[in-house]
Amino acid sequence: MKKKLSIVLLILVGMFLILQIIPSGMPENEPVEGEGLFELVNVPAETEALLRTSCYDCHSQEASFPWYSHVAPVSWLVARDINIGRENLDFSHWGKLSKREQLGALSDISEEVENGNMPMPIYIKMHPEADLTAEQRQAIMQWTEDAAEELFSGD
Amino acid sequence: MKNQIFKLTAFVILAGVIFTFSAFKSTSTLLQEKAPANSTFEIPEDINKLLDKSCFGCHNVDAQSEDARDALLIDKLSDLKKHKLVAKLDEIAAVIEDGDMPPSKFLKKYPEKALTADESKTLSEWALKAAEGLMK
Repeated sequence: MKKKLSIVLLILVGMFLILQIIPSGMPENEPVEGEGLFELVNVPAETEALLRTSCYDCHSQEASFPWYSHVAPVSWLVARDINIGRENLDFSHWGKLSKREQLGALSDISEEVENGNMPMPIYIKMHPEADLTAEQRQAIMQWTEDAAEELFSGD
Repeated sequence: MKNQIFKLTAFVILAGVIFTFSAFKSTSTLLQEKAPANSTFEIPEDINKLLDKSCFGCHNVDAQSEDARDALLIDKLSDLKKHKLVAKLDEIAAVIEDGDMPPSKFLKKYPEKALTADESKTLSEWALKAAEGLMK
């Protein structure tokens, strides 16, 4: 009986190790010089801190990964979420967006934060520090408004 | 007596007809009512018709779906600041071009609300042009 149990355990450990060999598809995680949001747009320090804590893990190339995010199969899920997040909005490539795309992004940010869709509730469960109070949501929305006004009026 | 009943019935029917007509408002009437008098943003009549047919039912201030109201309020478009209006118009163009709106689930129930390819093109081109005009 004991022998059988150790064989099963050995197989499970072996499978787990094999999983680690499979690439997770984790995208690059280096800031992009000259294209990042904070390099190009005036963002108050408090708001920058909020964006970094609550949005940057999925919407930038400056994510901070907890140790378990490198372990398969969690790493696959994290990679998938980050890829989807960056596809929708990547603050590290802010400079690549046209003025109109930036206006659209600012409008989307404001709506998603106001409606409570972002940060995603499932993400907040794993990262309670990313949750935003009503005042913090308001601060982000106000920043999007100011940034859009600035973008719109200045050429 | 018969005459009195006839008069009463006629009165009730007439009152009913007047009430029904006053309760029903077309989208364009609503849009005109709710648009600020000094607004520079105007929706052309042909576009209004398309919006009325395929979008207005879910995207107005009194609509049932909160998600739809959060995403777009056609009767409040002209109240938006210019930068927000540009973003909304671009979003309208994108969802129409991608065929995401009207939603396919909704069209299964109301197939008559579908936009033809030409209508979609007209609507998205208008939205893009209007946004472009605001950027100048």
